[in-house]
Amino acid sequence: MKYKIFIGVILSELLLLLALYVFGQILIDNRRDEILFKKALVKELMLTDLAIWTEARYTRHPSQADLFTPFQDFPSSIEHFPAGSIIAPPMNIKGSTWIKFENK
Amino acid sequence: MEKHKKILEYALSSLLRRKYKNLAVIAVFSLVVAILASILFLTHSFKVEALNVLIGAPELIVQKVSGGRHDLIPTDYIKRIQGIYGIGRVIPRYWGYYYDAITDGNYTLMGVDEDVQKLKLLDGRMPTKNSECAIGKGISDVRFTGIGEKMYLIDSKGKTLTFHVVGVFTSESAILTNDLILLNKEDILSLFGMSSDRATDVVVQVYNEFEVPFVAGKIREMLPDTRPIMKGEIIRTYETVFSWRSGMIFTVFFGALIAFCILAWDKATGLSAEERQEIGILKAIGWETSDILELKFWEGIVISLTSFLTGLILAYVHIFFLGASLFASALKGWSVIFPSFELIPYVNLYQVFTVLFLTVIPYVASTIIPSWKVAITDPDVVMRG
Amino acid sequence: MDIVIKTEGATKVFNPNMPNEVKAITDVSIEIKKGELVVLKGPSGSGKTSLLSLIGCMSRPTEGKVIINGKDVAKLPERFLTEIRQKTFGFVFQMFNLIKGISVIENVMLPLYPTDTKLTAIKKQAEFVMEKLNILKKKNFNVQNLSAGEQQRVAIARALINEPEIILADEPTAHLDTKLSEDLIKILQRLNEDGKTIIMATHDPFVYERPFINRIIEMRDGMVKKAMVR
Repeated sequence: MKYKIFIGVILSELLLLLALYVFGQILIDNRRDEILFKKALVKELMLTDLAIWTEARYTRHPSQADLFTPFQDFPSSIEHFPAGSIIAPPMNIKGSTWIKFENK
Repeated sequence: MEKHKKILEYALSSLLRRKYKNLAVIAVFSLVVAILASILFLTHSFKVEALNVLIGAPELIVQKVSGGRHDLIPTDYIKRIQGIYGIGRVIPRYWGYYYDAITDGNYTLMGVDEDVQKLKLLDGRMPTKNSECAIGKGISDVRFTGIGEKMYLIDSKGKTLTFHVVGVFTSESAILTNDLILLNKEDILSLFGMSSDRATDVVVQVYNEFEVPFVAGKIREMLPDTRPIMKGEIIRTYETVFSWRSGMIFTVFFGALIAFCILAWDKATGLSAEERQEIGILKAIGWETSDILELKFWEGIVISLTSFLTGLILAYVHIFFLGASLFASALKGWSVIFPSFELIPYVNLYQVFTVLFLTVIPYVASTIIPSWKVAITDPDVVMRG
Repeated sequence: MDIVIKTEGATKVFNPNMPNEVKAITDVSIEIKKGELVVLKGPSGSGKTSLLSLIGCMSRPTEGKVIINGKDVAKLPERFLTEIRQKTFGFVFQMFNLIKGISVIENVMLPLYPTDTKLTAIKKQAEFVMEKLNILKKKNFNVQNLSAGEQQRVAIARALINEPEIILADEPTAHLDTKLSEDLIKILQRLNEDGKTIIMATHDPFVYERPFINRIIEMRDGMVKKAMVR
């Protein structure tokens, strides 16, 4: 009967998802040390950014980039680097210490 | 219970009448869900890992700013900063960028002290004297260089310097070290042509993390040409990476959502004459309005639930087993060195349920609602057309 | 004999107060007794199908009453009408109205799907009825692959699966040749002999000139002109 096949398919998919989730949790557990080692590495080397987009300074170290560099040509210039379209501008530019003190 | 099984049975027969069309709908729907879920899994996993790891970042970094640009900071600023109450050590950092003409890649060079502890994620050891370096896996791969081999870099005067590779970071640490070259402090100064009274920036250790904003304010007041960057700001930066406000993610996400809306719209814009006739016949032979609606509910659920679960499985495998390979070339951009994503499978169940509500429920609704009017009409009127 | 169906001043207007308003039947009052075989005779547009729809609870009268087994169905909520349709009537449509793309046996089983009877039991019942109508060997065929006569028998099987006491047939011979029409009439006669009340709408003399018909109700322009008892 078709409904039994359908229910079987759905249950199989749910079981597979559950298995993937459980597997994921086991992996998280197994890689817990890796996270600790990475955290130690960040602390020891005093790192501030992830080493992902090496196209430009402000994509390699987005947390360290000054606020002008992405707009270095002119304020409304189109983004040069593909990675710049993945990193959104800071949520609240006004909230940064630098500009807050500027107003003071 | 028997009734529901039988109505489901008929719903399946009904869908099998247009087997290929419905299979195509399931395929497209699954793909849409897979793309949406892939983006959510990627961004969430990435963010959680970034936050878990960058929590070890320095409490406060102080840069010198000149003409709106990041400038080298005089080392005598260190003594002045150290005078502020509540501060521990103030450590100068020496780092910068190196463009490698051989590979067209950009590397990050950092100077390290001899007393840096042995790191678990490093094969070999840290450089302890001049002309030694430890490199990231990405550099090791593009330059075909490993421990015991040589690395050639050109300094600011155009002279080629030779460094012995004494350590290579493991691939697990690639997300942090992929493009790193660690050198002795003197080597960095000589390579970049920096004078010894300058550093790239300084790290400020603050005893009480709640006093960091206050300390930052004090530094800014004392040294108006500096820019303090707090750890909170570093972490917030990575909350905005892959955010929906970023252009690429927004485009992909929205594209997938529009594709889904087109799918649902096709369903929602009314029944064909054949479908209306069928509802009239079912009513005439004894089906109630609620039975018709239940039939449509099952038709919607069969397609949408199957697609949703299939899409989720595909997304999970794509991101956590295949390293987001379909997105890799888009994410990589122009980076020559790019770490392979071995993401830890952090999954936010709330997001999964959000995708469920955004896809399954509208699709089921778009299947039921057009049938409602016909289902409540007298069968004689429906069959007359 | 008990009166199973009664209409009192039944009127049906389609699309009332609109430019395409149609008065299908006007002030029709008839009685049908249990076990009768009654023919509604009249030309196309005389209101036979509309009257059959009212009797079969597939639409409601605009005015008047329709009383089935003593209950006035005109004002009943929809789910009660559905229950009556399901339990009391078997309807054989003029165009057969089988669902294309599904098998013969599934078409026959459809009326019993929204009940609590087990699927296996319904299947058994369907096979029993199809055997009686000599259509069992085509049970897994898609209905569009059957001949007109075979489709007609499937339609009748579907009408019989819920063991109705009343069978309504609308122009049952419209798409059949002489031989198939003859076969159909024999089936209906047999069902009537088994105790079923049968009401047929037709303008085919091949049907209404049969001696076993109990009564002919002649309709024209939506009204009853003559009711003859054989």
